[in-house]
Amino acid sequence: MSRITRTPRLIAAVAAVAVVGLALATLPAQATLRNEVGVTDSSVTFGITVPMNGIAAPGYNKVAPAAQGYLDYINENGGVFGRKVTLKIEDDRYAPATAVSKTNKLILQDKVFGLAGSLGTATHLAVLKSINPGKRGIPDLFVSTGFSGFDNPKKYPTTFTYLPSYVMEGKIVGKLLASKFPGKKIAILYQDDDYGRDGLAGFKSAGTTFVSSKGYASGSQSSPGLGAQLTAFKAAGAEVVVLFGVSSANGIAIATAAKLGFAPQWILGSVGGDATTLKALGIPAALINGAMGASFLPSTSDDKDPYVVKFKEINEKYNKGKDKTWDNNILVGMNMGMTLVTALRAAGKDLTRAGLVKALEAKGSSFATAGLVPFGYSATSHAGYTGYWFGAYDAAGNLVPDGGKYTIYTTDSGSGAVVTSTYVRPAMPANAIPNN
Amino acid sequence: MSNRITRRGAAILASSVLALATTVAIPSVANAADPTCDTALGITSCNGVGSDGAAYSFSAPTNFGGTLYLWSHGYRYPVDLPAAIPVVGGYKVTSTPEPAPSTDVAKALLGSGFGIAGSGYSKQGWAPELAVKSQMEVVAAFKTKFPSTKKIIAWGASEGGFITQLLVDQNPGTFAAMAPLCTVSNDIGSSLDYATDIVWGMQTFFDPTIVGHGYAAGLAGYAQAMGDIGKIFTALGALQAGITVGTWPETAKASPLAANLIAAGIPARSALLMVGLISGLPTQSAHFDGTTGPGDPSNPLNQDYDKFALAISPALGVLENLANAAVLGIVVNYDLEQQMGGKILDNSTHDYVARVGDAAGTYNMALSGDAAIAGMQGVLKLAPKWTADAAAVAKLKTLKSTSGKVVIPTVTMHSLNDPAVFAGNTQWLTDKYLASNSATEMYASFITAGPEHYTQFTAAGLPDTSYPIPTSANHCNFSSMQMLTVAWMANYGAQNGVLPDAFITQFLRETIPGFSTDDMLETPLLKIYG
Repeated sequence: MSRITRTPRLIAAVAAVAVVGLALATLPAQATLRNEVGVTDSSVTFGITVPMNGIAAPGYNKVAPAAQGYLDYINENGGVFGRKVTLKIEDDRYAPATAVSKTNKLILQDKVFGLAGSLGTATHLAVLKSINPGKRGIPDLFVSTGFSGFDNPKKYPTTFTYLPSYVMEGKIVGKLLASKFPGKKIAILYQDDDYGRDGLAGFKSAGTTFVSSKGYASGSQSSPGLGAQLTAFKAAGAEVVVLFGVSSANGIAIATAAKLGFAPQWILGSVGGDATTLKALGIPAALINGAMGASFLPSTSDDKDPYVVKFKEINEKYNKGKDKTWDNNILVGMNMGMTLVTALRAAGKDLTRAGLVKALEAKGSSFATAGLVPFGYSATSHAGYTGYWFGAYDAAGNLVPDGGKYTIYTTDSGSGAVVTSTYVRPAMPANAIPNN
Repeated sequence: MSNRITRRGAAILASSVLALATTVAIPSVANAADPTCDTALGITSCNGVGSDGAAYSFSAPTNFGGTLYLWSHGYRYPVDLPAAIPVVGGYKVTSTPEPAPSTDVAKALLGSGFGIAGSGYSKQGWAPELAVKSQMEVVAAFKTKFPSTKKIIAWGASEGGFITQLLVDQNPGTFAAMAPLCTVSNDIGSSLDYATDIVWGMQTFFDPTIVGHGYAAGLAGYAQAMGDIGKIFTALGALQAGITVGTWPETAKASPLAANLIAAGIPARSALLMVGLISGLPTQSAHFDGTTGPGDPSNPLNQDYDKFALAISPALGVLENLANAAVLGIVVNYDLEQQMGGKILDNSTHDYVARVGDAAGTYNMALSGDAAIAGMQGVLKLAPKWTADAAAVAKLKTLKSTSGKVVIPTVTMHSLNDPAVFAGNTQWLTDKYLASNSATEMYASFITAGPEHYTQFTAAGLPDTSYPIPTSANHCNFSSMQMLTVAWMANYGAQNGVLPDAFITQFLRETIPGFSTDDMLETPLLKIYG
């Protein structure tokens, strides 16, 4: 660590500096001794880096404004222990170097208390490598990626993931493929990076065998496209195709298959399975009607779920984003905001960075959130949600539970079995305002 | 995206290759052992020649306050570079003395009552011990001329930073403060390590006829080294021309291992980026920020912006940096092989998969995905490695290394993305200081960084290098204000025995343009340190 003699000191005065024309006359009379950054009696500030523009923006750019909308709702209802919670949003365009510079801005210039909800595997790998929030004691909460490598409290002591890991998703979807499509020829299209590698590890663990397994390099889905992969699937006689890619890749794959006259049973990975995003990319709901997918939050069309009902209401009134059309991205963002508020309450009134991390480790797995599975947080695990339910897309593009009811499966990112979850989600606090 | 960068050719490469021989205007050098001095406009300027023939120069104002800044200049090529070599050809060896980093800084220091001095050294290339001797003779000559001298501050850049550290190590009690800037640290072997990766990587992926090491003695070896520079620039020119489509240089097809990558459709730019990542080259360069694409980023119809930014920009930055580093690496290696009498580059134990590490995830898109990465890493494993001659290495190890001990107030400054002397050299010194658990404020480090976005494109969407290199990008490219800030800090340390309070240091970081304000910034260590 290059920090040199950081101990803050009170400086009564600074002598005039005449040498080489440096004007230090504007030096403040004294520095403020301060143990915590980004928090006062009336406010606490977090930062998020997310692709708000560019090729990765569709869908993902709705998450942060939704979280901010939920926090505005909380602030209007008294905040957290009297503190207004602010989320500063920085656009990283999904570029690692930009994510580093924007995170630096949040930490050094905006002096945030912590990071919350930063999105993307490659981008956050760069942030952890270059900035290392853990060594600085800065909470790095609810990272929106399922890359299992971020759940590593020894290496990243302040980093907590949010999504179930892609390994978990592969294991769970693999188990369900075996039970729902026995004997069928299955193929998989995966993103050829940490995301896809994690997922493939999960499918391997589940014993899934593919008649064809094809990757695409991130960014190559539009050019040269996915024609070769889909042609191979068709030639292999694939009857079920798993699309474990981002939304743009999944959309292109479905459109390409349609051109090829290839109509397999689609299985959409959670990352690229949001119907409204696919629709925005030119894929009508009809093309994914009957496709199957997985989620850890309630169905966005589940009007009996109290979180869905309340979040929709909050979204309408408080979301100031450019596009607040209700979908899974909005649900994820609202829920992330609620999780943050719950964590701040768990840390207590005397908020410290270290205290927040400890509170998540001690109490995070019992937080009341919209998740139908618990977080995996503990002193030895910083894994986010720990399971999925399986469903099918209806004619309107909503993912609804298979068989009409949620059957939740849970597992870990290691060799643990996939089992039916017995988790009973805590009742939603009144008005979706955490009261823990 | 069309291949639109083709005609820039060597122009982009040429525009930023290091101007290693930075010079400050100096009066003509006297041939006598005693300096010749003139006084004009309140400044006494002296020129002389040391016992080993090294020309030196020093100056002090009439109101000299007793403090001398001794400047050690950086690496200069020890050989002429033939004009036929693209881009850098025509360079002539120079031993002009250099008493300050720039004319502006010299004027500012003299105007504030300080003395300045510096030698041109008796030998160019890697010869820091000779430079130390020359510099100490300059100190003696200055003190003879100006007996009121009380404090001496050693400072220097690049190899001059290394010389600065040696001066202090070897002459306890002589210097009151030091400022090694964009410095080489530890030993030259550490820096040669990444030069090995760069040149070996170019040989492995792009031109198997690159000799790289084991140059013949005398003129034959010189011809080989110059030929290598030409081959690397030829390959880089081809890579640049085809960077958007990923075209491989024709010379790569002679390598069976590279041919496999070509057949697999892996873009050449991904292999170029891989060479940068195994060696530690930054993806931000003099003209390319590694993140910007052409056109209006706010236009949602501009699909090229992000494709370029994510898939191409990192390789473009590496390309420009590699042009800088390869020339330096080849000449330094040639120079030292001649001195040591054999091969000194050795990558037989380099674990290139480990060296890439998490960067494979960060730059996955630019590296064209896991399958491409695995293919390139397969090449890195299978390609024959270089092995040094034991006797030459043993001799190399007898060269002086810096101790890393901070016994006087010390100020460092390094560009985060220095392409020639990686910032890890300064991090090594920082880590040494922190490990010493010094209770007093004896060390301060400034890291400079260019703006977030500075890549420029022409109206046609071509990368444009006609713009000036932004301050803090590239090697030792500091502003006068940054240099004077370091000078002020060092002077404070020289007069008080400790540096200013950490609060003031941080205030300067936050006030002077181009400094990183992050007082906890860790720059990547050289790969050799893991």
